[in-house]
Amino acid sequence: MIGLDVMIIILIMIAVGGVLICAGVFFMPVGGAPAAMSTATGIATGCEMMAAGAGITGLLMSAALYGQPSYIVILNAGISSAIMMCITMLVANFIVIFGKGVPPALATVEKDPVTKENVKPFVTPGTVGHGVPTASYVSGFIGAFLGGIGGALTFIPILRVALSISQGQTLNVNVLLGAFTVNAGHQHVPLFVLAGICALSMYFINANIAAYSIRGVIEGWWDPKFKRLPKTAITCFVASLVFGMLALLLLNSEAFITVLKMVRGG
Amino acid sequence: MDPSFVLLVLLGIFALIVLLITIGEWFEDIESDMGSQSNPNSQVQLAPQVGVLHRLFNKAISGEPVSQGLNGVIGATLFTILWWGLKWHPVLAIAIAAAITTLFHMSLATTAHVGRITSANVFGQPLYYDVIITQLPLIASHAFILTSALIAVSYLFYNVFFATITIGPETSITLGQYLGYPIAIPLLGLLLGITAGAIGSSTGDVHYGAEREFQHAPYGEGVPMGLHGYITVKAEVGYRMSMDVAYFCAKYGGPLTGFTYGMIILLDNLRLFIGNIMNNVVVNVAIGATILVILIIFNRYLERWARNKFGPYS
Amino acid sequence: MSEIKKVTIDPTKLMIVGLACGLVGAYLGAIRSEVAGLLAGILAVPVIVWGADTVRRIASYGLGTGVPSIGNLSSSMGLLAALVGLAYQPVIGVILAAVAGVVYGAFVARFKILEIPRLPRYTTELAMAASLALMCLASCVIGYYNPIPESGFLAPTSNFENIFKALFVTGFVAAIFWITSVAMLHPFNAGLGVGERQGRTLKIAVVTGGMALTLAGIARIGYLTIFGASTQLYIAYATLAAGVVVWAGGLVAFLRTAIREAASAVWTGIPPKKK
Repeated sequence: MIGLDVMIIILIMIAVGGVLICAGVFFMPVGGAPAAMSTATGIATGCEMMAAGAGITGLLMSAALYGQPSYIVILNAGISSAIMMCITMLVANFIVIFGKGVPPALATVEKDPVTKENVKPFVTPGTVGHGVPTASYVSGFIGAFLGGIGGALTFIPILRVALSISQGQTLNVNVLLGAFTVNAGHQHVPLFVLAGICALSMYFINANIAAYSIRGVIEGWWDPKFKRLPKTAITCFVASLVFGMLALLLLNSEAFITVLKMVRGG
Repeated sequence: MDPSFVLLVLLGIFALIVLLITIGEWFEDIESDMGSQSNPNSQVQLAPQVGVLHRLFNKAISGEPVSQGLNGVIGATLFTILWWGLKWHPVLAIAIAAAITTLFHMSLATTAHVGRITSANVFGQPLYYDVIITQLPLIASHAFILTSALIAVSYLFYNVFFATITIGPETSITLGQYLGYPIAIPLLGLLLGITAGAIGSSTGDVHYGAEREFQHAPYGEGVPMGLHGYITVKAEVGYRMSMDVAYFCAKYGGPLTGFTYGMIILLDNLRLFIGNIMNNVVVNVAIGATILVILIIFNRYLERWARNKFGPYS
Repeated sequence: MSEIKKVTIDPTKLMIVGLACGLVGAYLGAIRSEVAGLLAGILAVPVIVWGADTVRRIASYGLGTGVPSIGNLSSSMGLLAALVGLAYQPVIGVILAAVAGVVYGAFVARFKILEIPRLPRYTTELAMAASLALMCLASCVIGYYNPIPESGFLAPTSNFENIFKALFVTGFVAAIFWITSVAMLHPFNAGLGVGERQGRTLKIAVVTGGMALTLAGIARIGYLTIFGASTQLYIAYATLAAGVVVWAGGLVAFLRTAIREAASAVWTGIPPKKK
């Protein structure tokens, strides 16, 4: 059985991860379908899918670094997601600039919040900006970084709990957060699958709340819609707690523990 | 065996992974353009409402991440059965699995096109059978290339992780400490597929949506809101079909989309790879941070270059 | 599309049928026969139709971020609840899915994140439909799921061992998870438009339900061949065949309806001039 202190830490990790995923979506410059027509600033995808796409790169990185201390896994997952997002935004700019011949521009503000340049003259009348200007780029970088951290925060506890039960180790805070010495073999694959799919589910649950809150289009942290973040973050916190409890129920169930002990046997 | 030779083999596998992902993603973008999937779909959907009747394929199988994730996961599931269960050779298993997956994809494409066109019946949008019959094999063949690339990469990642090479009587090297993920192939296929779709819709779609779909609008400006729905329906000769879009986007949008995914897999795994070889996680983080800084500076340079060259809107 | 259009099938009736089918499918394994798995898979189709109808109702209000997000949301909510249900007792999973759905919907509605009337009811239905569909498909993949213990209330742990082997060791859980999501979101997404009609949308739901059943049959064959227990393989082939029949039947029915209801269905031609 999992001790109460460990359970509380797992719940907090999952809930904070949910809030970070939500905040990450708010930072991402998502333009939705209009962005694909150069009618809006940002990347041309739904926020939920962009967040998931970036987060998955972080999840894969956390799976590869399963044995490292938690803070290293989390940092690396954030960097992986940010790399994915930055390359995507860069190439989106390439296509907007060389494919359509439009310079990147913002519409909601007069001056770019990062470079302090005047961006208004570059906006085509009848549109709300195009491409990914520097401020949106930085915002997207922050968003993907937060999202990657959030994904890793849901991935690590589930994986560590399953791994430690299957190894027959007593579960304590050190096992959860510190380095974990195990050589992942074929018998451990199902535990990675479980943690991965739970983290993916948490991604969709939280990113969706944020996506509905910003109604699909946001430019960055200066956008008026960004003010909705606190309320949305509370909702994400509660939703993550609820689904974190479901995950804990699963990890605590007798059937599951029996199966995990089988894993140790091979 | 020489340890440096093992490293060389590993680099070769890594290069193969990047190559496969690049080609698969390239075709992913063309596949989505072929059926006006994802973002440009909103205009194809809007066109009959503003009185523009067309002969384009309206393949509204959700956003690209969902449908490519489905391609990846079904293909990887079938591959697992053929390769692990029936002990087929992986190359053959990849081909057969990807081929069966296209049946699912074609079925979704047909229901999406027919359903959307039928729902536009009040605007008099006709349902053309030849549009479906001409374009369906093309969609399937492009999806086949993407699916086989996703399965192959999942297989390589999974198998490299568990591979060990004996280099001496006592010593052996586990390749998993350098490259690969300990995740089952179907889930890996799903994850790689979702990422493929997310990249394809955020980069390659812009070329179709902004340029090819509005080719009668002036080049060098964004598409104003008032123009939405008035898409180009005439081709160089006669009415435009979705395959006329493919050759246009294959020149610029497709290759760049492939380049994006290839770069992501390359840079992200390269920093893991180098960090693992030096056995130091700090190297890992340092390389990642350097890459990010370079990317941000490069984007800033590109933005300034474009603004200086193109000038303000006039 | 702010108002819900006239429906041919009452959503509440569909909900009752879906709930009943799903629960019967989840509990059918009590007869301890491989046939129960096949029937559970077939009973997942009405559950998916119910889920697709719920997606239709919630998404017709306009979400600002597309229909697919709702499908992913439902299967994500359903997956955790379904796994808990399979580990303890299916009915607990359904109740937990309902509770989670209510909490999710209540908070989203309370903070005016989505202003849709009766949102908690929709999210509850989504979570329940997805968890039931996932449980039915999972029991189809493992053969049969026997929820009746010899003593006490919790389902026997041997079930979960099978689930662990069939879904997690092989990774097929990803396939079941994603096909449930697509099966629920695709019908309304494909039927979207001004002339959308419930009957036609639900016919696409039968097609996608058939695809889900086919995939479950394929996974069943895979599970049996991978773990070398190919004694009961003919039931697995029957599952696959049932899936293909539902899939093809739904496709033919849908295409017939669509061709009848389209503005005009012709082999080729150029679009007519606007009046």
